[in-house]
Amino acid sequence: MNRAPDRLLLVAGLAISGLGVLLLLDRTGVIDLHFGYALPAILACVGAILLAAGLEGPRR
Amino acid sequence: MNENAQSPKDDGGVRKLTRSSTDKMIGGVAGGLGRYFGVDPILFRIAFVALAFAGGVGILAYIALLAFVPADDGTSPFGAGRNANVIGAILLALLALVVFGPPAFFLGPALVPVALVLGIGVLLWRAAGGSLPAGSDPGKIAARATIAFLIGLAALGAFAGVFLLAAIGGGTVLAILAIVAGMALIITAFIGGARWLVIPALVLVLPLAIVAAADIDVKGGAGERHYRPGTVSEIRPEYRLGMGELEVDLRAVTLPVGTTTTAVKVGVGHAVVRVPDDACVTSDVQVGVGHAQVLDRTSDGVDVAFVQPGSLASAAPRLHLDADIGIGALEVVRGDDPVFSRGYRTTSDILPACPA
Repeated sequence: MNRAPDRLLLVAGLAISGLGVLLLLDRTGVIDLHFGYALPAILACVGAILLAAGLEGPRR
Repeated sequence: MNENAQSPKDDGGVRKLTRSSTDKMIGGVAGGLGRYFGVDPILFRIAFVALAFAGGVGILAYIALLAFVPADDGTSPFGAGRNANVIGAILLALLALVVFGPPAFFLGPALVPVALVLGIGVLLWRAAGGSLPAGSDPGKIAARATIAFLIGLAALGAFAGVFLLAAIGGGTVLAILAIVAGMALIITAFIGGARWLVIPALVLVLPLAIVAAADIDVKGGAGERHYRPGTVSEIRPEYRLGMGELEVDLRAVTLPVGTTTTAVKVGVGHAVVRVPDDACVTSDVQVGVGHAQVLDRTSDGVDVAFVQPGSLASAAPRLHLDADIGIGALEVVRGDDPVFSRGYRTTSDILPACPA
């Protein structure tokens, strides 16, 4: 039987991977990350995880 | 937290967002949001308060929700009818803009960390057992508080460790680790695993993001450094400090005709550059978070960056300064001018970048 993925872990994984890619591009000099871009990205990442946690509820 | 409370449903069985008439401090907005999303309303209250000091955004958002989201008992915050709600919301929004506009905005950045600490405290408390029913055993309360304190201490230590590791040049490795951690979470989502794994992944990625955004580089050590070159040949191409206070005093130097260049780089801290009275100063300044004052030019906030070209008409010897501060303040003053930290200057005290 197929088991539905845990949406909280899925969203958190995607958000953290995305942030990690941004940071890797910055550290390797491909892009120059500033607070103007980083802060919204961080808040969006944390917000997405909190929303996923709120909408998903406790795991059964 | 009211885990048992259910958000009201409309006729189609869809959950409706309503303001809470029972869990309320002002208008029940946070209580309603908490009930709708199934999280502790205090998180929304902290967010509203923090955003209130960030240009009044929290106040405006609260007023909008207060005006347009119905209460679960059918009452209206501004009297009967939707028009009364809209008029009330506009009046309150205008009031908020007046009260929380500049210069009150400067309070915002300082209060965000306070709100973050409060938020983390609440999350840790809940992680250690959540709210306690009346009549709980004092021993259990102490045990939960101790666990929350230890978890907090460990998280803070890990945060500081990652921050330092990133700041001394380990950012690339940490970014790769963050990507790997994210991929591991995605795999875990399909095969099943503990949700607490999200916390260490965030502790890994958040300090790295701060270091990257502020471009913090703590190579160069820590502490107080004072440099007072006496001749042009003694001026270093670069003065660097990881964390602390750096002062470069060039007052004793007689600058030659032409351009003399130097650079100041501080990861976290305060840099003061004193320039000779007759120098025409040009600069290229970058500050991740903080304050920069180069003679008659000042700027503060996040991502502070400006170029000061100087007057082409001036025949005075030129000093070009490249300054890069991660988090902190840069001050370039002429002669014996007092610096910001030792007595605030008025605009009339500040001399221009190039002498007449």
